Amino acid sequence: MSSAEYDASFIAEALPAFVSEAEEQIATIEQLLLQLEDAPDDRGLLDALFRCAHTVKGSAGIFGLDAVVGFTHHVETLLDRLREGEIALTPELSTLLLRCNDQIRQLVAQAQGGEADADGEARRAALIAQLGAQGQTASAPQAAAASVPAPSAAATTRWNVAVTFAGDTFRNGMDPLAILHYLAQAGTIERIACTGDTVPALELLDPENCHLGFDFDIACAQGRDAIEEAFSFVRDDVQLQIAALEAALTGAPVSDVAAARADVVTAPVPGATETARAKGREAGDSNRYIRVQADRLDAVINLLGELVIAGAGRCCWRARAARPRWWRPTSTSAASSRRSATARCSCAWCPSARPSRVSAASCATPPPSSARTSRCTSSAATPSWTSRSSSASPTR
Amino acid sequence: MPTELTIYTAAETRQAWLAALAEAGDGPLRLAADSVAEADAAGVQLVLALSRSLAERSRSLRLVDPSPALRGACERLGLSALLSSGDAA
Repeated sequence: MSSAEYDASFIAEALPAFVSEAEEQIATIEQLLLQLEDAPDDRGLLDALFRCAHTVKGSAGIFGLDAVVGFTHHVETLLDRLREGEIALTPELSTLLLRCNDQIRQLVAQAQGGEADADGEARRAALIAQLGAQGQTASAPQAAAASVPAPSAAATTRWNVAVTFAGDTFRNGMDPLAILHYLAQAGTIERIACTGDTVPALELLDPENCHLGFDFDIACAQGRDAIEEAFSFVRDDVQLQIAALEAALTGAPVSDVAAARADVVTAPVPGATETARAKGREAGDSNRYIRVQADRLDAVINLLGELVIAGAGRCCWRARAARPRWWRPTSTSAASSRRSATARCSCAWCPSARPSRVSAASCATPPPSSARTSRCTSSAATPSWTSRSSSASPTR
Repeated sequence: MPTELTIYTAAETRQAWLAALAEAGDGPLRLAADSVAEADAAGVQLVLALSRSLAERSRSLRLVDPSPALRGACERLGLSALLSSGDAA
């Protein structure tokens, strides 16, 4: 089955479940809004309202219903500000949200194959504009939210990172170069110095010991968490210090471009900065998850199973290969061939490996002398024939 | 310089360079660096150690014609200075 067919069949199977769940959430949003008319400050209700919208948006995202996600995002942003107390729930706002809710319902219905309404698009655009107009600081975060795919300058922050890698870094399979490459993709490394003063001369160097440390400035839109995450695989192997650079800007030797960018950072409306930062964090968190189809996950787990089996097979093969070179099942006698069939492997994976039973069997029925050589089995590390040559007397 | 300047070849590369160091000579040590196809931090650290050893002998290291892989690794690690000594040659 091709991946496109996988997608189609998965969506066809699961979409009805999404639609019914979304309809429940939409009905709940309506009820909550009505309840809030009597208690507009109830934090519990506001939280529940936000969660409902968030759930609809999240599950619509799984199905790639971009229209639902895009519109619900605006509603969710406003609900977030409501529950943070930045704006108050007025009756007008409540009406606006109810109308938005109707539009979400319509979009969900369309996702299931309902007819697209011609003027719905315009109506939703008008609603989005009204949502954006709520509260005086609304425009800044809304504008930032609207341009989510483009890197938002407001979220870009500069950091100074001082990191020292422990000696075992290389031995643990980690490469500081790879981490820096990764960071260079997550942001812009503006200045880097290697603090490798502790690197000894070649004569004294253990080449597998890491003596490297770095000091660099990085402009990273995803903030401190993203930087820390780059070091997550070496957390035990690094001393890491990350400091925000805005405060130290005047003293730091930065290029004009960087200084100009820093101005942008400090420019946003007071109060909106925190929100923008929280958004950045949220975006960073969501980047840590990937969506994988259950079918594909199944396929991967099956492959993993086969890999384990193949690994066990390889282990058996190696055990066989590790036998002494003189090991040849030369005799064709029934006894020896039976023995060599059972005495194949001592590895833990192999179900036929019963070293103790094998040796007991060999002792109980000493083989004819011609087959003696085949008695050495995979426990060949300590060749059994050395100790048994006397008991398996050739006179027998 | 080896084609692969990484942790996997670090031990043998070190031996080879120690042998080169042992040969008497003065003036800069010139290393043809155009064949390096792969470099990691362990490899670049080795170059740093070599340049340190040479400095102790009042000599310097010249990386002749560093390959893009080596150049990229040194620049990313903030060790462009290792390269510039080569350019000066």
